[in-house]
Parts: sequence; structure tokens; C-alpha cells
Amino acid sequence: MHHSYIDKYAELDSVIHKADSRLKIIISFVFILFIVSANPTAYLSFVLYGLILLILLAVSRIPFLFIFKKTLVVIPFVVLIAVYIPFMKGQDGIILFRGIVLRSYLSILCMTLLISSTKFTRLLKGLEQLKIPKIFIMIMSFMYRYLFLLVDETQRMQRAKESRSFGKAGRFRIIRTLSNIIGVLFVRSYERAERVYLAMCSRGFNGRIRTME
Amino acid sequence: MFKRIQWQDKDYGIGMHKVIEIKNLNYTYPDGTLALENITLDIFKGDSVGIIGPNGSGKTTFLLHLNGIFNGNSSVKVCGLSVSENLNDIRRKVGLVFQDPDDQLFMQTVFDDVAFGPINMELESGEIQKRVDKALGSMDMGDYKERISHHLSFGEKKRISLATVLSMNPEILVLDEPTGNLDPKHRKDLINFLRDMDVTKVIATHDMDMVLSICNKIVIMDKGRIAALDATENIFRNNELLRLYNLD
Repeated sequence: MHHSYIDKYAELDSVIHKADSRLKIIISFVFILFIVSANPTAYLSFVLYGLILLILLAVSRIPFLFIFKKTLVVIPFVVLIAVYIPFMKGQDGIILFRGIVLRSYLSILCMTLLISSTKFTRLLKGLEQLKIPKIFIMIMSFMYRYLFLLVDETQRMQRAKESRSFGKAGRFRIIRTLSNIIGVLFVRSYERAERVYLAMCSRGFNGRIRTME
Repeated sequence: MFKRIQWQDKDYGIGMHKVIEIKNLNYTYPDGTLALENITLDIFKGDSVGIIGPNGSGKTTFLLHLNGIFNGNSSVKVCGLSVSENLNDIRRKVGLVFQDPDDQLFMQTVFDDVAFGPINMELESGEIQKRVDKALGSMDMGDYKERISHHLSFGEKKRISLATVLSMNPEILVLDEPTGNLDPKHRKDLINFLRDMDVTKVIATHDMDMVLSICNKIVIMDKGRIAALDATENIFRNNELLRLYNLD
């Protein structure tokens, strides 16, 4: 099945794509540090950071709309967390709120640019070379491997549900089937994890993950 | 119930080296379902044993006992070693391929997956390279090393799954539905490949043509028990048995 993979445009051939993944990781990290430590009232610096990111985005030749959609996904979470801030006592809440939303958006933009312009395997290799603990890398690797399977499985269940539902379904019924699907998905993922672990053990896994250099 | 023939009593068993010995194996799932009941079976070096039987008859559960993933009542011995006590050695000798290739392939790239076993065996890197190339080559997948598993078709994943175990050079190959969902060409190739391979094989399957061309012995399982076990030609000569298990 086809999904829009997060590294769909990672095969493009631009300066940014060709740069060493370690370099990109470090620069992104430092850049994000700058963004989050900016003063919430220093609007000029936000504009500057945004401009830099936009220039990088243009150089990378990744379609703007693609990046924009990816970054949008995170906005609800940020707003949900930050929405209480304007009601806090003693500070100018609105400014703080705006600062937080801006900072998170710019950081996410930076991360999305990094991930979209680097093949996931190269990104993991880069992190590994930067001495990030192997366990984190493995977790990310498994996540990337099985995320798509999970999406496939959801799609299949959705289709199976649709091909058997006709007539008018009340809102309550829809919610109930949906929560059913989520529940089944959870059980299936759990069992899948179990089987994958057994498959690892069958090939000599003993708690330490080793790959070839 | 049919006469149970213990094949070591017959001429083709005498003097041969037992690689798998199972005595009165019972296994109950944690929820209380009895999955395997009183399984007694010896498998000899070079045997190809086909495990057949309806869905839910315990074939997969049985296979998972052969490399110690399930332990039942600890009555399985592989190459003379008790499975429950010698897990590391057993897992080098027994190559088990799961039915669902998405369980079998869990690494980033095909190469990493095929190299996973050899790396855990602590082989040196030149040898690992060689084994990966050979295993993938034998499955007609030599060009797939840098590919990412979730971009592959089911049949491709299925063949790479087998390669992940071939690279470990196992003495015993344990396969769960190896031809399931393969296209006709690759199914035929796989059957020929397995037939020419000189290792002990235990294959659970519904593919009767494959059993006929590869296996010299057959175990029919039903409701967690061995319903019949005999040489392939004897099973296929027994019309009553074939009819009873819808194998004709």
C-alpha cells in the first residue's frame, strides 16, 4: 500500500540532501536551541529564524505544501498544552502564549526539514555516529519499520468495516465501531511485538543489538 | 484412530542419527487451552518432515517448541541437548522462519535483517558479508540488500525471511508455511531449492504438492495430537486416511 512516507522527498538531489547527516543533526539541534531561548517579545529574531528556515527549504527544493502539511499536524498538541498560559496569574499571558506557539512551530519546521531531507536510515546512522545510545536508535528504527504496518492494518480494518456497513449508522454506532477498531489495533500491535521479539530470539538475540559498522 | 507407526522401528530409521527427540510433549496456553497433547516424535538427520493438518491443529505451536520459544514440559531434545537448558546452542542449530514475514523482518534494511543472525553468532565481518550475499543470492534477491523491508511485496518479504535464516547455516530448518502466498514461479523455485538443500527440514504447510516433492515423512496433526505419522508414500497410499483429513 502507498502512504506519504515522512522521507518521501529524501531522495532529491540538493545541497541540503547531500550534506552529511551528522552535520545536519548538529546544526538543527543548535538552531532549535537558539529558537527556544529567544525572548518572547523579540519578534525580529523570530522573523529572522523563520526566514532562514524558508531559505533552507527553498534550497532543498522540497515542495512547500508538503512541509507545511507535516508541520500542521503538531499544532493542535502545542495549542492544547499552551492554551492555559494566558490565564496564569502575574504575567502577560498572551505574549507568553504567542511566544510558545511561535517557538514550537519554528522548532517543528526545523525538525521537519531535517527529517524530510534525510533518508531515515542515514539519519539513524548519523545519530549512531554521534554516540546516541543504541537503545534509542533501535526504538526509532522499530517505530519506522512498524508504523507503516500499523497504518496498513488500520486502513484494511477501515475498509472491511465500510464494506459491511450500509444504511444509516447513528453517531453513537460510529463512535463505538471506531473505539472497537482502536482496541483491536492495540491488541494486534501487542501480539505483533511479542512475535517480533520471538523472531529476534530465534536468531540469537540476547538483549544486545549489534549491527555491522 | 489410526495405527501409529513409530518410524524408528522400521528399516529407514535404524542406525541413523537422531537430531530431534520429543517425548510426551504437552503444552497448554496460558488461557488454559490445551494446544499440544502427548506428542512423541523422533526426527533423524537428513529427514524432511511435513507437518500437515487443519487450521488450529497446533502446527505452529509445535514448531515453536523446536528452538525453545515455547517450553511445554521440557521434553524436547535437539542434537542430544535439552532445549530448555541450551537455548543459545539450539538457536544456532535450528533456523526457524515465521509464517508472517513482517514478524521475521524487523531491521531497517534487507541487509541488516539477513546479517542479524550471523552478527549474533559473532562471525567476522568478511564472513558475514559472504553469507548474506550467498543467502540472498540463493533466494534470487541479490539486488535487494539496501532496500527497506516495508517497501517490498509479500512474496519478496517471504523469500528474504528464508534468507535471514539461511545466512546462519542452520543444521535444522524449521519453516512455517514457506510457500504461502508466493506466485507460481517463485513457489516452484522455492520447492526446488528446498528439495536440493541438504539439511534436516521440518515444514508445516497446507501445500500438498510441496510435501510430495520434498518430504520423506509426514506427520498429520489434529486437535493438538499426532493423528498419523509415516513415510510419505505410505500416507498417500492410505485412502481412508486421506479422505478423513481431506487430503485427497
